[in-house]
Amino acid sequence: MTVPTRADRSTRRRGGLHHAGRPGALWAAPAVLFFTVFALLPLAYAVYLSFTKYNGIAIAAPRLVGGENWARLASDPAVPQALWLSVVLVVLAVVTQTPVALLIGVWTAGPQRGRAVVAALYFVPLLMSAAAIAVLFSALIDPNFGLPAALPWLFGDGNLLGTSPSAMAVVAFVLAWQYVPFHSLIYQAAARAVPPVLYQAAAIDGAGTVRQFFSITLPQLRNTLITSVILMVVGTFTTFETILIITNGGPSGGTTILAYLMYVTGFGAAANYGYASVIAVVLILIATVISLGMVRLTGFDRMRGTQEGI
Amino acid sequence: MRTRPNVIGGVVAAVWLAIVLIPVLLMLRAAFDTQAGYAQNGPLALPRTLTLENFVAAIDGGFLRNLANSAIITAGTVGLVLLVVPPLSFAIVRSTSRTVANAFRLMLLGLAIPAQVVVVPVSYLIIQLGLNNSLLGVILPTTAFAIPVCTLVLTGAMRNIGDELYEAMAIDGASTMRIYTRMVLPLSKGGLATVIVFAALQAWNGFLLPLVLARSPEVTVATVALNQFRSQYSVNIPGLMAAVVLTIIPILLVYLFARRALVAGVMGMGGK
Amino acid sequence: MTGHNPKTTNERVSSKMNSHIARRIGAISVAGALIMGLAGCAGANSASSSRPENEVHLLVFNDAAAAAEEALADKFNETSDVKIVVDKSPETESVAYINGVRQSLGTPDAPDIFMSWGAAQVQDFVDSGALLSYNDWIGQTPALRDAFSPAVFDQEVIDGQAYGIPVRGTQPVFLFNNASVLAANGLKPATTWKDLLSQVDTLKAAGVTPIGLAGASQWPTLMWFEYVYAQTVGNDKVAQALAGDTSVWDSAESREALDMLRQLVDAGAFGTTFDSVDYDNSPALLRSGKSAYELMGTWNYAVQAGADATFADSGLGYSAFPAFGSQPKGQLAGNVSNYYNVTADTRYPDTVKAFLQELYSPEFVQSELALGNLPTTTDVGQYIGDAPGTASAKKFLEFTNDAVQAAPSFQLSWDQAVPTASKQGMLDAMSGFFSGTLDADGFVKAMQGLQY
Repeated sequence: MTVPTRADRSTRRRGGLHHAGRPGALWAAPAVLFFTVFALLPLAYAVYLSFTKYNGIAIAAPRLVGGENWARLASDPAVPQALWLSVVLVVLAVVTQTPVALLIGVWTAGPQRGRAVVAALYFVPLLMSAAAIAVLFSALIDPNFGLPAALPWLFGDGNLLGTSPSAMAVVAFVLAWQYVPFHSLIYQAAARAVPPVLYQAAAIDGAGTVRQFFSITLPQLRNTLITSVILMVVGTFTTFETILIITNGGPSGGTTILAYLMYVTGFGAAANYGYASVIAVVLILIATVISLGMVRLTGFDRMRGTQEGI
Repeated sequence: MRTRPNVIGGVVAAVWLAIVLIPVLLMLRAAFDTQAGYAQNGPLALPRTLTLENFVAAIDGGFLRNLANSAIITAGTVGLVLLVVPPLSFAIVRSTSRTVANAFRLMLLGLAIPAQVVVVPVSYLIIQLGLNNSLLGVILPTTAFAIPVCTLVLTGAMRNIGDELYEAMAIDGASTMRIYTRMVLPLSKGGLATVIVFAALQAWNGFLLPLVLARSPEVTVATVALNQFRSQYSVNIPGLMAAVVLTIIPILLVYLFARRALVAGVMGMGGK
Repeated sequence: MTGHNPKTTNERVSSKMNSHIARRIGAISVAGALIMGLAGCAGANSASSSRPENEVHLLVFNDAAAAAEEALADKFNETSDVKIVVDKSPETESVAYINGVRQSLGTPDAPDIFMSWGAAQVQDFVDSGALLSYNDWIGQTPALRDAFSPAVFDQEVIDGQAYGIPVRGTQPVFLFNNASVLAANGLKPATTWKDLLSQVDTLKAAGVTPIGLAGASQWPTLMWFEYVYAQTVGNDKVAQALAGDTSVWDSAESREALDMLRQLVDAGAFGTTFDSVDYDNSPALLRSGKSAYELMGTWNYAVQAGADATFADSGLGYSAFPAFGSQPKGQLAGNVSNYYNVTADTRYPDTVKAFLQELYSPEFVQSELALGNLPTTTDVGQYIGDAPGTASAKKFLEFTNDAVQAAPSFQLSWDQAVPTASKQGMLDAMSGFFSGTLDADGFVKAMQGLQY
């Protein structure tokens, strides 16, 4: 991104063509105002709320209590546990979804006829909202009236939500079911854009399919990989309805990731909006750090091209 | 072009196809079964009788209202986004104003903020504005949080319009507004399609914001209603599945009629 | 060049940038202040002036028992200028219902009348001055208080002010059973703890889950603690513990209760999948014969009847919790009652008062009885025999009434008796104990760590 500098204005004197189609700041105003009022101001307000005591009753305004909520953060075991569960879920998501989406995306990018039809079928989960998918799976895994009762040899005793690891695995599976189609579409588009001349050159050199995949396809998909993983990480971090509908944060908080803990603290029995805002601020900081970190680490902001030398 | 078949990819694709299709088939099979039949025969046996009674029951229960609410929120969000984001992207790509450059940085920052983390203060704000329990109260924040990604995507699309095109329009004496409507917008169709798809999916599938901001039955959206049905229908799985299928039908129709645009839109979200 | 600025290009650029940023921040702050100010003004306009005209809104908890309240509103509207508008809450769970009310307080959407389960739930509301105290109305019409059993009415008297009028009825918890399943295995409803344990083995061998438990919803697990503690520790001590005497949790009787519960769980009484079952689906377990028992509140009768009237009539059995121990027999636990609360800024207090006076009228009492609810008016006994409804419903009412009259104590559900901030922690401790992640020491420690 090049930031327009004062130097550009001098070209005005040179003939005016450069000045054509230059909108002023007013064009940006509506969107910026909108975003500020409904996203940034609430963000700032969340920081403010984190220093107050507020129980959601609108007529009793939030009351400033200084750092009381933040002090609680230091000694509350629920937050580190929620953070840990968030990390575990993110890792599970990336580890399961990336290889599958990559392989499927590359495969469906192939020219063979049948693949387009199959690709259309993969699209089905994208037609369903996260809530719909969660409701579907919640019904399917009911131990008494769902699949476990009908297929005991596959599901064991059917107590899929009984332990934290098992429940997390269920959530990770549902997320994969939901998002692999999305990511594989991204990979498919990128795989199609790889210049065939690269593969031809490699074939001439005697490279097999696997070798071609690792030496050509993957490097060419580098930017797409990064985009996909960033979307996966931030998206998984904020998983909500899947957990609400399937596990309700259980068993005993065993799937309560940070985003869910925030919701329950504010809108659950405790109705502690002040502390929920503390968790929200923590969540924002982490999300920002993750985004910035990933961008910096992978050099994404420098947007190295993948077409050099062709 | 690769000449040897991609075996590993093919196997994974086949397995995943099964994983994708089996729950969908189970869902469809349950939706068309009778409640008694399902309770008796379990989820796997083929239904003895096919029936539409579950769909009728869901519609009688007012589900069309929920679908309509979702549709209104989607239309409102997409409309607002199309109103404010293209001018912003145009400004980011072409403006020489430092303010606009800072606005772009603001949008990049906004990417890291998922709607959830501000749901508490947004609910307070919406209540204070008197928009509690209204569809508008959901549309406004949903639009706001769709703006960063849409801006990013559209900016990327608009950057592809070369300077020479602007200069050509300028030679013809076109004003900024004319350049925008006659050249920039038509040339950004791909980006606009992506923006529409993204904003629409965000709005249609939205859950947390409607859950918190639009609780009363008249304004409940389809996704939240589905969750409520779980208690209502209890073990009436066919009834529940019929409701799920009903939420898919609108998007399925869009998919059938506008598949290319939809797929291109989703692919566009991955960026180039 | 004349007028040439001596500063370098970079300095000009950065100073311009700084002033741009400064202006930007200024603009945002002004916009923000404006918005918040407007919002403040909008909120400050007292809700009562923007409340609907000639309407009093009643937010009912929309389960099977709501029908009587709706019918009452309809009848009341026949003779009232100001109409009672019944809004049906979409929430199916008490916390979500109360939080829905909480969020709407102060807005035109706020109900005038809503329902609560106990004082702890509305403590916040009282502290914020959002609830109307009934003391003045009771002064004018003492029957508003005296028509109800004092123990029940006093549950929502906070600091000497009455905030709740009992409604719906008392809902103790009983051990429901599927009579055909028991009969098929040659069993009768267990009357002692030993009996229950031996039946567990028989039922397991027959491939039936002995006791259905909606572990995922957590509060059904609480019911088991309530009854075992009632008979080992005794409800007096339990009440003390819930008021803050944490030594009770570590006492010998408490440990004994935990041992008994552990024995029951380990014997496989609840099956292995209870953590994956929630209350949406557990009544169906009993109904379909997949389980033989379920410990549940009396509202369960209406739930089962609503899903399968034949089962409720002839297949659904019920009994008191199996007896054991040296504590007085017949102690009960459950929902003492539901209560109607009124928001402080209601626009038509006279209408509301007149409506509330209907809550102890014979007609309303009878309509509640018809639904299987047992109102807590002092004269309810005389109406049970003539109550409309099926013979089996009447039988259930008589059983419930006898149990309530004879009970030496009736402990309010523990999760309604502790501050709302501690509710989740308590439920998590109980779920953890049942699923084995917490042992007895862990449980005691968790309970002692809660706020009371």
